[in-house]
This record gives sequence, structure tokens and C-alpha cells, in this order.
Amino acid sequence: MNTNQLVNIQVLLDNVTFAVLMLATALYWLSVAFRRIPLIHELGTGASAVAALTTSGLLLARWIETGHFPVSNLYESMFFLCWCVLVMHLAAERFAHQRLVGAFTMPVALGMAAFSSFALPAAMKAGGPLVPALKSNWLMMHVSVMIFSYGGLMVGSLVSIAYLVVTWGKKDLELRGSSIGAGAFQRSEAIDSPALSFALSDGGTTATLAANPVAQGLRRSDLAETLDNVSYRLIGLGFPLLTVGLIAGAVWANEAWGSYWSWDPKETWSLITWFIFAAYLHARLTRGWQGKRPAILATVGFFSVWVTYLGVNFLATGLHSYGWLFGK
Amino acid sequence: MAKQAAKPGHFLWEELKRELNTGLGSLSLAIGLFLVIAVASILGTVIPQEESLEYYQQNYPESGKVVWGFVTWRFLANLGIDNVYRTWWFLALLMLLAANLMVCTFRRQIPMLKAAKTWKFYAEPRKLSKFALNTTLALDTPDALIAQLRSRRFEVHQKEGLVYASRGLLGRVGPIIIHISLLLILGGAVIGAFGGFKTQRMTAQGQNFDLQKVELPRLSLAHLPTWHVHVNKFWIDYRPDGSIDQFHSDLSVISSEGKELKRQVIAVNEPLVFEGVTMYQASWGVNSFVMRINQSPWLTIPMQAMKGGPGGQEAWGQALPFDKRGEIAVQVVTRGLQGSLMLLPFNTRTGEPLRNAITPARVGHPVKVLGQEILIRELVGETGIQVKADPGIPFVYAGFALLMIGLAMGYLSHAQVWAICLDGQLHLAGRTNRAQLSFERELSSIVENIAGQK
Ligand code: HEM
Repeated sequence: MNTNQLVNIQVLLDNVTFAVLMLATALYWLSVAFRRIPLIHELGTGASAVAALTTSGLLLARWIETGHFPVSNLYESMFFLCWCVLVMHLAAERFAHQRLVGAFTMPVALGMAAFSSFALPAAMKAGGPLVPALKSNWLMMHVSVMIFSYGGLMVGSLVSIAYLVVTWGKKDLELRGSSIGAGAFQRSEAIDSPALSFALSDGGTTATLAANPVAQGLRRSDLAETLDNVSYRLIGLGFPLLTVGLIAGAVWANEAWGSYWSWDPKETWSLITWFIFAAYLHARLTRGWQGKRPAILATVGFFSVWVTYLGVNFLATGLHSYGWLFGK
Repeated sequence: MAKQAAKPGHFLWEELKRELNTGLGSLSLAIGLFLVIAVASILGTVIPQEESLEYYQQNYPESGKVVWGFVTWRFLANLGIDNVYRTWWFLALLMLLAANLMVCTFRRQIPMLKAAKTWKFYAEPRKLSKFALNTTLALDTPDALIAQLRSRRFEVHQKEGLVYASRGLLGRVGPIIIHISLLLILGGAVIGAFGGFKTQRMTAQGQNFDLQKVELPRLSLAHLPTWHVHVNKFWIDYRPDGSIDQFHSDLSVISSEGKELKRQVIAVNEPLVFEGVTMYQASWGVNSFVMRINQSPWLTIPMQAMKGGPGGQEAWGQALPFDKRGEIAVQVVTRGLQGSLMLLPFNTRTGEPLRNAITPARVGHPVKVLGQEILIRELVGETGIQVKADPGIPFVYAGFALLMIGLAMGYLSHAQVWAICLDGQLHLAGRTNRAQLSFERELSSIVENIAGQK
């Protein structure tokens, strides 16, 4: 295939991704609004899977065209982030059996696709050779792990936002699934007030309970608890990835110019994000801090990830604008 | 023991120990510190750091348009916000976090791990019914349950109808390793701050630099090397399209007696390491050019970096007086070491360029400018070497490695199952610390399986 064909494929897949994500968003929202209508939710899942495939195709075509992993400009990295969000979303949905997750993650994925296809000027979209600063395997690993971690953290914190919406106006539940297992014992409130009425849909894990009478004695997590645990597991995955990304960046910086940490704005913001999610993880362990407060921290973390990813490029200069070292 | 506690000294010690556990070692302190450090770090990305005093006086005035009504340069300077990450209170916060982490890890987490390791049976069904996940089945032996648990990689202990099974204890070890590795990284950073040094040296080809005058922090324990470095050669590889492919500096380390101790060509990503000191190719410039006018002797003329050359690119230049009355000068400009230059004559009084006398030139090729012959023999480059010694690096890297191991372990979920077989009933309960949903599913499929075998 020549470059022209590859570019055409990209343009096509770019538009298809946008359209499919729009459809997926609509389907998920409909499935939440009209829970009785069968199949909408499954179709939504199908659409998000198709979007994941078209984004993969787009990224692959770009990879073949430019000969390097597509994270070298905003267009490429935004579509890669979109892909990560879709993958994390599909994993979360499989894990949680929850239709609500998509209602929150799909609009974000849609926004990413829309921004990269419509808002970016053509010059920022085109693929090109790597600037010398990015020509390092460590660095490519650093960038891609970082973006993957943003995907996990974003979906995780979106699920926390969903948790906040679902428990809006309710008292905090004593939650289970904190790493010291503090909430593993029964609390009468938790049993008596099992989440919201609309939560008890057939999409929740509660449904399986009724389906097999033998296991009835075992209580299952309700919607709020499910969301809380899914959010925890995703952030628990995103946080290590962010840490590994930071380490890869630090090692590369140290090998390339002798300083593993230099407080440049992007670096600092990834540390800020890291601290916010560390606060989230530790808040879950603290008695009296379970439930809403960690979810609020995760919500703050969601915005912090965005600032780390985007904001800094517009706000400030620093090593990540490839200054003193290689800009010449 | 109780009587001894009455002694005032001992009492104080107990009090201190309690304080250490609940105060300094507490999770709420940790969460508070995380958030405060995050906010302080945000300040440093919003307020420009390490600028000159004039910069702050200009941008954060005390009268007129005061930023947000109170952020004046004096305010910034007093709180150290012009250099947040090195200001005393920021470092104190980091130290407090380290202390918090240390107390928490050694006084809380390691005992907690020991508690998690010692397994215990429950003998009373009432105890099991307190678990959120519990059920009772009509079974008179726990064998089916034990087989199920074993096939799911649980480690099972049993004693006279009592069962305790667990899996994923490493998930409890993970956070401890994470915390210890963070201490290692912080320790490495402190060692680096006090035992190391860092500096930059711009040196022209053919010149030396030494490391005698390096700015060290107060309390530094670093000892500076007595050897110096000779830059044998500096050159740049260009691609056919004129962009830069790679920088090279040929360096020799020379002892104070003048003996060559080591020689190496460095490039970006290929530093020279000698006695714990690493030298990186980090920057470059054009130092000077060698020229003559008509039949004059060869002159070496220094060049200065010029900001914002054509197209915003880097350029170096120098103005030479060019006629006897000093009315005309020629600005010699180059973009790099490729050998092409521009000669731009201009009127010294008005600054006006003499457009039709602008002449391109190449190294080694004489050109005529305003009737005079100029020959530029050579452009001399200078290399920017970043010099660093950091004895903390092995600790930091060990911390990084350990941290990744700890993180991987810390994703595992520690699951525990208890059972009591009594009077034809199997009472069952379980809990886990992370993967609550999968565990619920797993436990109910275990229950289904053993109930189905009946
Ligand atoms: C920069 C500092 C820190 C980082 C990055 C960090 C990281 C972590 C991580 C990733 C976990 C696992 C969390 C989970 O799986 O839910 C964890 C657990 C934990 N951390 Fe920290 N931590 C830090 C500081 C602290 C401090 C200062 C304390 C003490 C006050 C602390 C106390 C704990 C406790 C008690 C656990 C739970 C242990 C367990 O699950 O067995 N951490 N930490």
C-alpha cells in the first residue's frame, strides 16, 4: 500500500470512528433511559467494540505510514488515548456487568474523536518523522505507558463520577473492597438500603442472585458498590501504570541528560495527578473516608489527568517542549 | 507492666509512641500531605519559577493591577513561591511525608502483615454470619468445598470440621514493598542532593574545562574532581535536508599532572562516565570564526547567540567595523557549523542594512563585500556539556525496580474463606480486600458447584 492509500484509509476510519461513537453514546443513553427495551445496551457495547476496532485500524495505518508508534503529535496521541479509553471501558463493562459505565465513558471517547477530527488544524493532524528528542525506545515506552495510564485513570474516575450520580442525596454506605478489607463485615444500613431503584436493573450483578437460588444466601454487591469496586480496580490499575510511566520518563531523563527529576510543568502535573490518586487509594482505607469522599477525589483526579495530558502543552514551556537540549 | 506505666518518663514514652502511631503514622496525615503537596506543586506550575527579581517586580506589582488583589512580588518572595520546589516549607512537607511513611510502614503495616499471615479458624457459626459474604448449606463434610478451593489455588488448612483457606497473600506484601521502595527513592534523592553536584560547561573546540568552581548547596558533602577535560573536537552530523542528526564531542580527561586518563567521543544518549562523574552532550553553539580581510593576518572573532533569527531559528553573529570612519559595519551571521554564512553590511548610525550589499559566503571561499575581499577560514563550534555526579542513583534505581515489583504484587487481591461444619450444616464465609466483584462471583460459583454435587 502506498502512502496515499494509507492516508485515505485513515480519513475514512477517522470519520467512521466518530460516527460509531456517536451511535454508541446514543445507545448507552437510551439503554439507561428505557431499561425495558431489550438489546439497546448490547448494541451499545457492540458499537463501542466496533469503535475500538476502527481506532485500532486508524492507528495501525498511521503506524505503517510513518514507521513509528503513533504518539508523536496531538492527533495521534488523542486517538491512542481514545483507544485506551475504549479498551478500559470494554474491560470495565465485562467486569461489572453494568450498562451505566458506558453512559459516562462514551461521551468522553466521542469528545476525543470529535476534537481530533474536527478541532485540530490539518497541520497538526498529518503524520511526520519524529523529532530527535522522541527518538528513543525508552521515551516511546514512557509516552505510550503514560497515555495508557491516563485511559485507565479516566475510565476509573468516570465510574466514580457515575457512583456519585447514583448515590446523589443518599447517605454513605460502608463499602467493601478497600485494600485492608475494613468493610468486609455486614452493616445493617448496607443491607437495608441497596442502592437506587433504577439501579436494580437486569444489568447489575444483583440479577444473577435471583437466577440461581442455591447461592441466594450470598449477598451480592448492589449498583453503588459495584461501581465503587470497578472504579477502584481501574484506578488500582491506572496508578501503577502511571508510576511505571513516570519511572520510564525519569530513567530516560537521567540517561539522556543526567537528571531524573527536574520539576518541569508536565512532569510536575503528572506528579500532582499521582498524588491525587494516591490520596484516593489511601482514602479508601480510612474509616470515615469511604464512599463519596474517595469518589470526589477521583473526580478531581479526572480533571488533573486532563491538565497533565493537555493543559500543560498550552500553558507552559519546559523540557517537554523540547527546549534547551534538542530544539535547535 | 501496668505499675511501671505510672512512672512519668515511661508514661511520656508511651504517649509518644501512641502519638507516633495515631498522629505521625496516620493515614489521614498521609492523605492531607498528598493533597497539600499537590496544591503546592500546582503553584509552581502557575507562577513562573526561578525568574529574576525584576521579572517578579514587573509582573506582580505592589500597586496598580495587583494580581488577584494580593499576589505581589514581595508576597511571592516571602513565601518562596518563586522557587517552590526548593523552598524550606516544601522540603519540610516532603520530609514529613517520608516520616509518615516510615512510621506507618514499620509500626503499622508490617504488624498488619504478620496478623494477616497468622491464619485462624472460626469455631462458632455466629461469627461467620457477621461477614457480608456468608451462607449456609446442608452438607455434612467440608470435602467438596476443600476440593473446590484447592482447584482455585487457595491454600487450605483444616482441623476437625473447621476450614480456613486463603489466596493472594502477596497482595498484602505489595504495599509494604511499595512504601519501602518509595523510602529508598527519597533516600537516594537526599544522598544525591548532598553528595552530588551538577553543572554545565560551554567550551570551544580546543579548550579545557575544569570542575573546580561548581556551585554547591550549603551542607554539601560533594568533593569535586581535580582533573580537567580537554575538548579535542566538536562536530555535528547533518542530514541531507540540513536538519541535525547527531552531535559529537571528542573529550579527554586529563589529570592534574597532565596525563590523559580517558578519551571518548560522546553524543546525545552516549555520555562519558569517569570516577562517578557523567558528562552528557547537552547543548552547542558557534564560538567564533577565523577570517581575514584582504591580506590581513588571521583574526579569531567570537560570535554571540542571537535570539530569533529568521524563522525563529537559532543563529550566531558578530558585527565588524568595516570602514575607516566607522560608518559601516558588517554583521557576520551563521545558523550553525555547516559552513554557510551571511555578510550583512549596515549603517552604524541608523542601523539600516545596505540591502544590495548583502552577500552569502562559504567557509574557505573568498567573497567581495563593498570592494573588500573577505575569507572565512573556519567556524569554531562550542559544546555544551552537562556534568553530573549523583551517588544517590543506585538507590533511586533500586527503588524504581522494587516499586514496580511491589505495584505488580499489590494488584493481587487477598481472599480468605472460612467454613464450619456442624450438625449437618456447612457454614461458609469469605472476604477479600480488592477484587470484591470477582470474589463474589467466585464464591457463588463455588457454592453452586458443591450444592450441585450433593
Ligand atoms: C508517596 C507516598 C505513597 C504512595 C505512592 C503509596 C502507595 C500505595 C499504594 C499503591 C497502595 C496500595 C493501595 C491499594 O491497593 O489499595 C498503598 C497502600 C497502603 N498505604 Fe500507601 N503510599 C504512600 C504513602 C503512604 C503513607 C505515608 C502511609 C501511612 C500513613 C501509607 C499507608 C498505606 C496503607 C496502610 C496501605 C494499605 C496496605 C494494605 O493494603 O495492606 N501509604 N500505598
